[in-house]
Amino acid sequence: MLRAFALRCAFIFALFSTGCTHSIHIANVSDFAPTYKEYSKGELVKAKSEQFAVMGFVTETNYVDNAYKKLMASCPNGTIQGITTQYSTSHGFLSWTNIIEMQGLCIR
Amino acid sequence: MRSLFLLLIGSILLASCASINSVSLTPIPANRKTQVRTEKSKIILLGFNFDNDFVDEAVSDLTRQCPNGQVTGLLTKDENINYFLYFVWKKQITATGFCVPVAASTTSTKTKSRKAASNEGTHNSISESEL
Repeated sequence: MLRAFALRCAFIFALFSTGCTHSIHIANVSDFAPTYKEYSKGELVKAKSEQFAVMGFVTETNYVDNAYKKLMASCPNGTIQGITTQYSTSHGFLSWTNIIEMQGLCIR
Repeated sequence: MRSLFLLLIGSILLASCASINSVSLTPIPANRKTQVRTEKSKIILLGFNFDNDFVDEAVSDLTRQCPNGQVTGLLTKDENINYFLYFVWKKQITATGFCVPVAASTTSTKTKSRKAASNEGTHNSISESEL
């Protein structure tokens, strides 16, 4: 009886502790100015940053700035254009992870 | 004991939860020497908000920081900072980018192309009215 209860609890815990739903809030695409070069002429650069939140208790949103800095660092002497910015959330049990993904075309 | 209680109450009232509403990014230039940044916010009590003019202030602030150039590589964050039980919240816009000087030749080319476009527009409007 006790074992069955423990098994049920373990099953429920396993079910809710995994990130089983994902939600995208924003997908923004910038233009290809100023060079308007072909996609094959540049290098695809990507940056990703995350923030783990338990019941929404987070006091800052610096992870967005971190993704921005990472993207710029991946193309130090070039222009980054055609930038796709995605803001999404992966949900867990009473907690979630906010994710910012940026990718663009680096033209040197 | 009383000061400890006041500290506890103060901490609860001033503690905040931040969340992002939207993020956008424009093309990042190769010339990243001059950075521009603005942060504008508005406190809203119980949702009573009658205008969003604070956003316009951010635009004019960026224009003031880069009077003779082009602002690009602009990361714009729109976030909510919620205080005690969501009775009070702060809407905050943060924009960070770069001021790139516009070459005189580019400016003259743009002026020429704008003039040409406006002439075309006039011509088109005449054609449309004739129809």
